[in-house]
Amino acid sequence: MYGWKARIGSISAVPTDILPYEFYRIVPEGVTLMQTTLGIPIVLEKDLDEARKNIEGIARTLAREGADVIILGAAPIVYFKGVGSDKALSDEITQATGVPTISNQTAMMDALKALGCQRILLVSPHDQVTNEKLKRYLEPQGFEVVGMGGLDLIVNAEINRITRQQAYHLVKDTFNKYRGEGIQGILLPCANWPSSLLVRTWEAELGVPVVTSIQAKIWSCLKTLGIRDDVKAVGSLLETKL
Amino acid sequence: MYGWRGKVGYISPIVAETSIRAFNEMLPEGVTMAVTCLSIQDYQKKEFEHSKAQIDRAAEDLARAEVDCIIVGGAPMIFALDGFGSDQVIIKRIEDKWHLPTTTAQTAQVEALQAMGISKLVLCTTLPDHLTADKKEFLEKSGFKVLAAKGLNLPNQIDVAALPPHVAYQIAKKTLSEAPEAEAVLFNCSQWRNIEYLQKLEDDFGVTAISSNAAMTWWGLKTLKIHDPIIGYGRLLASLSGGK
Repeated sequence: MYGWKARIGSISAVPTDILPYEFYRIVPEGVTLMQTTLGIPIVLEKDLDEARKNIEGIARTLAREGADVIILGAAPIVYFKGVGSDKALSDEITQATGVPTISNQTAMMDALKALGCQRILLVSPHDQVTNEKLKRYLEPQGFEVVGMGGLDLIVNAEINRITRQQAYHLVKDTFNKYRGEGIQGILLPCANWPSSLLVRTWEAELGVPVVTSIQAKIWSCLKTLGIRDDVKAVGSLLETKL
Repeated sequence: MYGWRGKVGYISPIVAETSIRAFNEMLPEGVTMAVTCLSIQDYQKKEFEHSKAQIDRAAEDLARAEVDCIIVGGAPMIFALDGFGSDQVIIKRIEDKWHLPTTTAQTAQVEALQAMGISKLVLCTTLPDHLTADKKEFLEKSGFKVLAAKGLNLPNQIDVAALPPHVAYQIAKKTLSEAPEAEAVLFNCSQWRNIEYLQKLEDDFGVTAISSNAAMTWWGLKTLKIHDPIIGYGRLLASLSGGK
């Protein structure tokens, strides 16, 4: 058994190579990823409704297979549904499975709070509509979104094709565009683009904390499980807030 | 994009855990694995039937994720249901629909043994005895002599995931002792942690050691025409670079 310390159950929107690639370059030895998928090819509301119906069944399978904690990906499932739906969904799944369950959306917001980030810059691969929905989800919960940037992508396969070079420049260019707005932190939602292994670079060059979807997932799960040692140095969230 | 050299799509029989961990250890830079899952809860025929019906949906998920090739996991769906030849039916159906090189875990194991020039082997499984017998039959119909076969008699993958890591080595050692003329040992099951013992078994017993995850990794890299040296996981993977 590889997961002798902890086994993290994960429900992703689509088959992705990004999550396991970054996960295993961050977590300590003895922590594994138990990966499942919902099959959402496009981030449209009708696809998300369909996917949400399957979540409990998949979570029950993860619980049965021995997951110590479950992280619910496909954050648009939650923020398309309105404020509070992240906690409602994770509570529902925790109750159904008996396994502590966290929504990726909740993890990202908790991470921003842990880092003291209230005025945030939102940068994503998504289109304006999706970014606006996330902004409307964040602001009633104490955040102020002072700027947004995106790549106008809605097809997950296109998002997966983003290069590190593109990601790096998107974040820097968007930051520079809103530099005078008092940015306290940068939020990069979506676990299907290569962002988590660039966090240290951005933090060093831009001078603010950066929270990515995958780093927030990992941080939230390790914190829930009380695991602190031997996590790779990939940014301020995992280096200082466990 | 991390899979800039190639992206292998894998249909896992259930939650993907050991397989992902093993693939991420063995795959070279620029090659990644994207996984989708079926739902084989227990080693029961009804579970295999139910999951077999999901294969086409799973293949579509991977094709939409723009993988470069597809591996259908869950070898018991092949050898315990429709038996010898049914893997080729699945492969053809997916290839005809998505025009992507496709294999199954069972097929990859057979091709790996053939590539290593193996004719006589021992088989070590996690399976109940009747399924170990089905897999043995499949291998024999594929042209191999299975000199000994031992299963751990586990009812499902939950128990496989809980196995201590050295169990693979120990069961192989015992089975090989019963068939000293064996040329290879084959392990089933993508959820079984064993890749770090393949080289040790080869060094200690002078046989070729192949596991499900090693065979799938080999097939994926070969299909993508990637010949990086993958050393330390046995002759099969080392053969991709000619052992260099």
